[in-house]
Amino acid sequence: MTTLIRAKGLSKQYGTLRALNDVSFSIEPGRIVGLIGPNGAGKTTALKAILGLADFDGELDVLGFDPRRQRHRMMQEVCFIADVATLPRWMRVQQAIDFVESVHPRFRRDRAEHFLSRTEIRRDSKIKALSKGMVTQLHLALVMAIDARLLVLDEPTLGLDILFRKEFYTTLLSDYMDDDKTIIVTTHQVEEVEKILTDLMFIHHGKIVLDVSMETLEQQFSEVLVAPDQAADARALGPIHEREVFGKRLFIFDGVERSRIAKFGEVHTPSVSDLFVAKLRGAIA
Amino acid sequence: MKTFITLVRREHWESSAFWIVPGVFGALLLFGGLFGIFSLWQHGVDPEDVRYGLDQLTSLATDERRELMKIALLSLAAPFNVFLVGVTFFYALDALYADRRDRSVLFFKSLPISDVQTVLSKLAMALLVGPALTLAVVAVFQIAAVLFGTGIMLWSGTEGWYLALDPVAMVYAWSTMAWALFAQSLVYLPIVAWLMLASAWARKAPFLWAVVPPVAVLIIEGWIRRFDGETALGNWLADRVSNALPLSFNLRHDGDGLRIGHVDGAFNANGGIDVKFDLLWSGLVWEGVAIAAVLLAGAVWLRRYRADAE
Repeated sequence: MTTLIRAKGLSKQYGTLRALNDVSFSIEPGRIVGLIGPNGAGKTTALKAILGLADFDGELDVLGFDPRRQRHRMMQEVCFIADVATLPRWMRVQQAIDFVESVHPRFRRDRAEHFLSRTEIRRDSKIKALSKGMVTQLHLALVMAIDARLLVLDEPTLGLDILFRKEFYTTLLSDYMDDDKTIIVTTHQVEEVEKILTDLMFIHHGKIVLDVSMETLEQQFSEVLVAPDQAADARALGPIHEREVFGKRLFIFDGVERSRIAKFGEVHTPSVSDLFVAKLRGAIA
Repeated sequence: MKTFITLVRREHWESSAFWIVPGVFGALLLFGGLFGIFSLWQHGVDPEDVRYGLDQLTSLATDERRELMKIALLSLAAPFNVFLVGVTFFYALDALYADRRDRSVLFFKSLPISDVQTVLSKLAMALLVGPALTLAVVAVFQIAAVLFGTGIMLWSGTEGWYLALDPVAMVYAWSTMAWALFAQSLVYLPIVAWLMLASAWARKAPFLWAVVPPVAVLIIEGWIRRFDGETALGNWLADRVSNALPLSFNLRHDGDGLRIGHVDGAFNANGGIDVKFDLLWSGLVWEGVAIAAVLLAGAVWLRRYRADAE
């Protein structure tokens, strides 16, 4: 299969703020990509560009379409959940299903009905009468019933309680994901998506600071807990991050062979959130 | 086309004001009528007195009676138009703003719907479907009013009590109303397009964006012209309405204003109100279409990248 998204020299300026600064990346089909970055880093701007919701400079190819000029056709194969609360509050559940069925050629009603039958959502309820969790379940049921090649999720679980958050990603993985589909997800709750991602992209000040597959990540980055008396030796190997944990020093290394640091203690792959802090805060504080 | 129809249906799901507002008004009128009859009855009005007046009407020749009925039905319908214009005004102001305010635009934009389809579906709701819904409500109200009148005629013992139940007169009135509403939509097209442009533009307060610029133009021009009571924009708006009437109905301008009648001369009592379609190929309509096309293109363009109201 060919590359799904190809971005070259993507830039976007809001007044004096460079939301995206000459960004290039590509996303292959069948991947689940986590786009991680602090607020205002350019995540949403990048997604808006991909979804044709904002203009930009540079080149961008999404499933062979230019999102600026061919958005209407592109959206037959792309779907997104921008936030937890974007379903129109005045609509009834039944109307939402009818509506998507009538406007989307790739929507399969039986699938939506199947997902909804596992929830307590009533068809005649107005969306404003549903709880936040139910609205998300409904939105997910609608989106999963669309056979789209690209699904973009921008903070899809923001403000939901933990049960719904867990269920959200479980359902997505078990009932939706397959080799032909690609998901891009942004979230603050990195721990939630960590296990399901195949690729990781860190974005900071409009630049991509890390773009790796999870397999590469395991080979490239390592983490070790070092006793204080050995800290100087570990520091000599050039860690990208150091902090104190329970009286010991935690070091994160980039591109240092695991055999060279095994002498300090048990070597792990750093968690995405630790790696995030390491990459963004820069080297040793 | 299927998408377009769905989009118009969606507008109807969201904005039921086009039939609820006239529905409530009609119900209040009927209730008021019932109350009036009830108090007449309480004050011991003699059915004979009522009957005397009604007999005058039922003894008219069929043509005359129908013409009177039609005018009566149209007079009943006229006040509803005030509500239709009001509902259309606020509908158009909200059309491309409300979903940005509550961010549901992001849901609609996640589906394969083009901005042109969205804008045109809302225009169709404002100028075609909305008036049709109001017309349907008014028709129901008129039937109720006719039944009500028939009830009074029965009660008073009027001879020919069934004569108000005249489908010919009703269809005649409804087709006249349908044309009047369509003509009105053509006349208001550029204004609705302007409201929709303001609706697509505003990050908040679309009402102010829609109203302040034209009012400012009126005031500045009026000041420049030393308050002689004339402004180009004001004249243009007033002319659209006053010129459209004689193009759509058998009305003529004379020194004192509009007069009914095809022929020259004073009020033509036998002619009644008739439609004519000169409006359709008048410069007035094409000018309006051209202006609306530019304004709506602007609305589509704004809709493109304005994903939320913030």
